[in-house]
Amino acid sequence: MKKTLSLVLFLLSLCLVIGAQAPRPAQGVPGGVPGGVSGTVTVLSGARQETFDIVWRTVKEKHFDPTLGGVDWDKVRDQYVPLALSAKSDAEFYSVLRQMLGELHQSHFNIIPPEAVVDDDSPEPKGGSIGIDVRLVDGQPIITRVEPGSSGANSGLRSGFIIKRIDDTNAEQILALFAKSKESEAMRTLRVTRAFMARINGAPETKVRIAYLDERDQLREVTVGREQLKGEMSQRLGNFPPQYTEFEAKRLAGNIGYIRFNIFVMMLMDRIRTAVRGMADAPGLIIDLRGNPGGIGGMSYGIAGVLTNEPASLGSLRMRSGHQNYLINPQPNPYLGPVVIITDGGSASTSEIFAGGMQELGRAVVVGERTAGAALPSIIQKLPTGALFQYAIADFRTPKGTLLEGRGVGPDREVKLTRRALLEGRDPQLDAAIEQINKQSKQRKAVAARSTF
Amino acid sequence: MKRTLTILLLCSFMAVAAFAQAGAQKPADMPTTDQILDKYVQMLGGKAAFEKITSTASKGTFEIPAFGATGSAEIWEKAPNKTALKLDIPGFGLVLEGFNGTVAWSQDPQSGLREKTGAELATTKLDADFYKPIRLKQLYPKITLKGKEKVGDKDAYVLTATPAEAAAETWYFDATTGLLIRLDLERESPQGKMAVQVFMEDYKEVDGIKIPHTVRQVTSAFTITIKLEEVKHNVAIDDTKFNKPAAQ
Repeated sequence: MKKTLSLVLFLLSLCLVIGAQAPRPAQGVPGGVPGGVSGTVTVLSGARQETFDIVWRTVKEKHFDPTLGGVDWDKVRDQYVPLALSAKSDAEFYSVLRQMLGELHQSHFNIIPPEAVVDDDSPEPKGGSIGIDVRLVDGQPIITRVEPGSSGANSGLRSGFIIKRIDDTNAEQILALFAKSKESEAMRTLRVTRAFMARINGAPETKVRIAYLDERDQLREVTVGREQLKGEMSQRLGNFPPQYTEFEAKRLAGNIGYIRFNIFVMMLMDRIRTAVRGMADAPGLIIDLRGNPGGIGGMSYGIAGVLTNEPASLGSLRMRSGHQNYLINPQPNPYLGPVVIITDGGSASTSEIFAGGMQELGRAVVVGERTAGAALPSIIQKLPTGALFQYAIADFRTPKGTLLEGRGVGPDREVKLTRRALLEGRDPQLDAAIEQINKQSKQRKAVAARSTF
Repeated sequence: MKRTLTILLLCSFMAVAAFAQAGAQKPADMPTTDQILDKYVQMLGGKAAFEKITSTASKGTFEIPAFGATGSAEIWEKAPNKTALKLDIPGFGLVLEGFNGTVAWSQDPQSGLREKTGAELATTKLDADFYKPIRLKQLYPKITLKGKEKVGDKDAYVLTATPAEAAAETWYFDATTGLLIRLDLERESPQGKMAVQVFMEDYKEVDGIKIPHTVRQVTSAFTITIKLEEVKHNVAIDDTKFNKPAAQ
């Protein structure tokens, strides 16, 4: 019997806690969002009916909150059935389903159309990028990172430049797409950011035209070739398709350890664990989760297991029936020095669970910006039409019982990116994290010195 | 029965083989708990058939449609109370569990190696007893016949059974065949709390014992279907397989 329970609870740890748009679109393009679907009608009305029923019924029967937060789901069905069945295209049909799910006003309810589902399981990424990251800074889409040596860097793009147009789409048009969204500001920002990245990235050996304001606010335009991504694709885990992965571990000035990874997938687990243990002589460790949308939920307590020598809980999932604790199981040779986690509005789901739990346990200081507030453990089910349906099966609360959904993790030390700092080549959030490590390191040395006497 | 359950990762259903009488009731026109349980053991193959077996090695698969996930499972059991389990989940890795009669443990790519303690250890012990079917009076001191209900289109006798150190379970026996066809349980441990409905189907005879070759575990969130492909009895199993591995 216990085996039954342990298996069931264990399988819950495989739940996806990944922000907003779980699977990548075809080609594994970083930052992409499912969308841009064709207008052809390929889904039979019978399959549409069945698909609609599954989606509606799943929410009604499996949502972790039987009251659905007060939403009259039967009424929602009545409202959306005619819209779904009269949809003139697959794209419109899936859009109606998304709108229906949007009535819940929660993250992790999404429809991924068949054409956006990744079928390719090869470890080589098929997507291309120009090596830049874009974030909303003061409401403007600004380049926040340029990979040295990338086509973007070679084309003259720099951190701090404001994106004004991508190919023929003005930045204002992209921003307007989300202006009427009922979602939280954090979620809207997350989706806008991803919409920009989805247009910048694309198939390798294609080009993208980018108009931008440079450091002197001069409007310029450049055409940049997309290069094949240099990272690796993760393995498929059930309906969770392969994900593009990036991992970086290095030492900063003062021998401070720095680890950054773009997503929580099992392929990175050993690398992260090894990297953390490899920082044994570092005065502090910075874990950079900016832009990390989450992934496999259980990895949060797995990573925490090499950052502490005391059993603890990062928080718990609450399902319609039952709950699961995210227990930290201390592992051999943990890193026990100061830890700072950097977050921003793109840090979602598992990133928030990890950051929020470590913060409340007093094991890490969070620096940067408030996280997305999209932290509902979910699973992905295949629908009769071939589309994927992501739905939340639980909510998540921190050790002190704080619900992360819609709220996010507030940083201990709020530091926002500014265009000026980016143009000056500075990363004020990383600078603040280093400062925090140095401060804690000094305090530790002082305590150690006192105890010596 | 226990063996079947263990093989299917459902150890407790085995516990039904020898019901205790304490607290037993007999609603009108119903058999007694003794009669239900005796028939159950008889339909499984009988006590003598169970006692001829000292070890079991099984292989199967599991599927979670809601995740789109499938994987393989191997289970080893040895008298008097040793068990080990290996799940291979593509895209995740190996999940191992074991109990050597004293120490219970689990290991997976997320949490690493972990030793079970407290209530979790107690329930592991309960499920690990190789001869549980003939020791149920000790393991489930309170068993009550609750009545008759439908399980799908089948009539079933409903009994509740409370072990010494865990929450009560509800067992559903097919009124016609006498076989256990459903099991409801809820367990709480440091890991959490989960209610599960377990449905036993596709009983097939292996070495004189009927074993359900398909088991569905239904939770509020998803369903796991486990299918047994191979069961071998009285195979040699090295005791080291059940021991907790060295920490890495």
